[in-house]
Amino acid sequence: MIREFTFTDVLYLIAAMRWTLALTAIAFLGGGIVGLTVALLRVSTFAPLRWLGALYVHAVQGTPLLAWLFVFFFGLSIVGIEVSPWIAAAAAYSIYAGAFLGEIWRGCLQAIPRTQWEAGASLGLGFAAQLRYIIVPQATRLAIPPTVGFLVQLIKNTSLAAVIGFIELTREGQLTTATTFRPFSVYITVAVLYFLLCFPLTQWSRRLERSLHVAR
Amino acid sequence: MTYSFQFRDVFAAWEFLLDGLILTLELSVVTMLSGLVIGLAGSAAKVYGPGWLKAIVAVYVEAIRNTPLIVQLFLIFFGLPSAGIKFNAETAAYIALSINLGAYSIEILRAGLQAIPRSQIEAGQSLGLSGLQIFRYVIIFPALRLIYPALASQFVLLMLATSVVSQISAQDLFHTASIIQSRTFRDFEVYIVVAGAYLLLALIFRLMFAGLYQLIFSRARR
Amino acid sequence: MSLVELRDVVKRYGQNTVLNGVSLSVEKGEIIAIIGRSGSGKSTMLRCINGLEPIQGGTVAFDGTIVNDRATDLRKLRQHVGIVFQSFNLFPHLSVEKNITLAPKVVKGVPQAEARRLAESVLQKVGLAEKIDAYPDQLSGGQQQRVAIARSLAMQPQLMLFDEITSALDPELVGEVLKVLEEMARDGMTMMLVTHEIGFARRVADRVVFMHEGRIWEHGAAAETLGKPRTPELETFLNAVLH
Repeated sequence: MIREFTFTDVLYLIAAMRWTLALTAIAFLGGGIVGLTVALLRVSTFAPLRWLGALYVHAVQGTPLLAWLFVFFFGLSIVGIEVSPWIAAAAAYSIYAGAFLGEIWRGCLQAIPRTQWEAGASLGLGFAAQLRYIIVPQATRLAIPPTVGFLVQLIKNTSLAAVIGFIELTREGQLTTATTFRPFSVYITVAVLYFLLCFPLTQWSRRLERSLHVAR
Repeated sequence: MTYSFQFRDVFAAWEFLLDGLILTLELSVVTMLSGLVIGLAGSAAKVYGPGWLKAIVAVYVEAIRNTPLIVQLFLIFFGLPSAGIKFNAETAAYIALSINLGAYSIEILRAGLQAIPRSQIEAGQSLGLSGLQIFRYVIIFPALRLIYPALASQFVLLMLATSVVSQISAQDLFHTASIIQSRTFRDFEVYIVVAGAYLLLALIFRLMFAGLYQLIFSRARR
Repeated sequence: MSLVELRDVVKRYGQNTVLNGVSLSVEKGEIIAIIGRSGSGKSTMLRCINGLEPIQGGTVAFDGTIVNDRATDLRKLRQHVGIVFQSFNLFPHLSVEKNITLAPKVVKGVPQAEARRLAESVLQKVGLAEKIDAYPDQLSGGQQQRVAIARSLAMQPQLMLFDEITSALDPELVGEVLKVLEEMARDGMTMMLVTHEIGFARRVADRVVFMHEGRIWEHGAAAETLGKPRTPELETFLNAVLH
């Protein structure tokens, strides 16, 4: 049955944003854990660990996120795990976000001069203590702006979860289009809603970046 | 856990894969070129243009960079026809991807242009060069060199992102996966193979960009 | 037994040999000034002593422990060997107090209150007691370097290494740092310092080591070595430094 595209539909779209945000949060959490591991691997003093980290990053950054979504959606079912779009999406996004966050954070860790590590080592601090007390606190400051920037990428990319039937903003838009046959109005609304989520974060990230440069 | 992988059926459909691969390559290369053109023009407008032009470019860049590519694609392919503008899937793909990459390129190139010290421009001016000449001979080369790595990795990301056009049934590499899947019912294998193909493409593009850098910039001094 | 014992130390970076068979013993309480042109290997030698640079040949021993032995716990060793760098290398995100107390607290488990008192006492020694709550970027170069010295002293090392610690300072700030070194010398600290301050070396050091092309080219009592160079290389070097 064809209906009009009404304000109620807009409210439904707005309501669907909570799943976009929920997926973003899960992806950020999962990706954060993976990313921290990757970043630490890549600054490790043991070369094979560094290679492992690099291999992971290259593999993930060399394949489309869409492929990861499908591999998990279809792949987990054949190893006998009942996959809901939630699980497939959570897994795929953690892997994806882990690679990008890992690279961002590695860059921040490596931006701290080697002499800071040396100064720590010379005082008798071990690798873990150097990281914890000297490197990470300084790198965190550098990491915040690009991490917020990546959050914008993540929000936008959760739209791809629509293709495995995960109902979030974009999928809700598709469903609304199917019943109202008003694709232009629907997708413009969807785009505006994404913009309202992302633009403030983009601006915030820029402001953080600027204040970092001023502070230096 | 008794699943046995069977890649034979998937590889038997290599002709589909090849066709898809070719469209993905075409989409990527054409979009990279158009994205570069948009990026050059847009960044120049944003840095050196009059206020109103800067504003227009800024709106374009922010609108694109803060919304998902797939929504932009849907808007162009599904949405515009209701306003009387119709494209086939491939054309819509080219348009959406170019508009998308253009916005990112503008941001990257803008950073490059702004990193060129004012003194360079002043030196050009004092030699009597025109604005356009300064842009062409003094600014653009070092600026491009500066942002080349960022631009190259954005291009590789774009190549991967072209997979999204499968969702409007453009017959790209990713779309062939769903065709093969429906014929062989080898869901998992298909996507593994396709993911591998993208990985290979990404590697080839990275190597190509590295080679191109050598070709363009290696003889030039800093 | 000497406190520091270098024997035939060889250090290479790829094809480039930086130390080419360096042997040197340092006794407890001695003050050794190491001079030479940049690239002569003097900083590298210093950094080999606390294991910051792995070596390719020979042995480095500190207080009987072989530094370049893989089984040696460098962390333990470094608690007894302080080093101060040309570029200060204070931790910019930590206050002066935290810079000083980090290692005592984390490495030695000194409780906070005691660590604070320790910080106060080492800061007293370098004349910066009032800067205990300041941050590094609020201090002048000379003050930062004195904090760096205090930070090392807080670990109560048996040996202090100084790697061109006045080279990055404005000329008018050099004096305050050298004064601190002189006081430490009076307190009997064993010190090895790479320096360009020839006058200071002559006044304070027991022995002078002149390094050239990765070797110890000439070495002996400070006044004698600096006053009557035996090799043309040292003579040229001294002429260049003293104008």
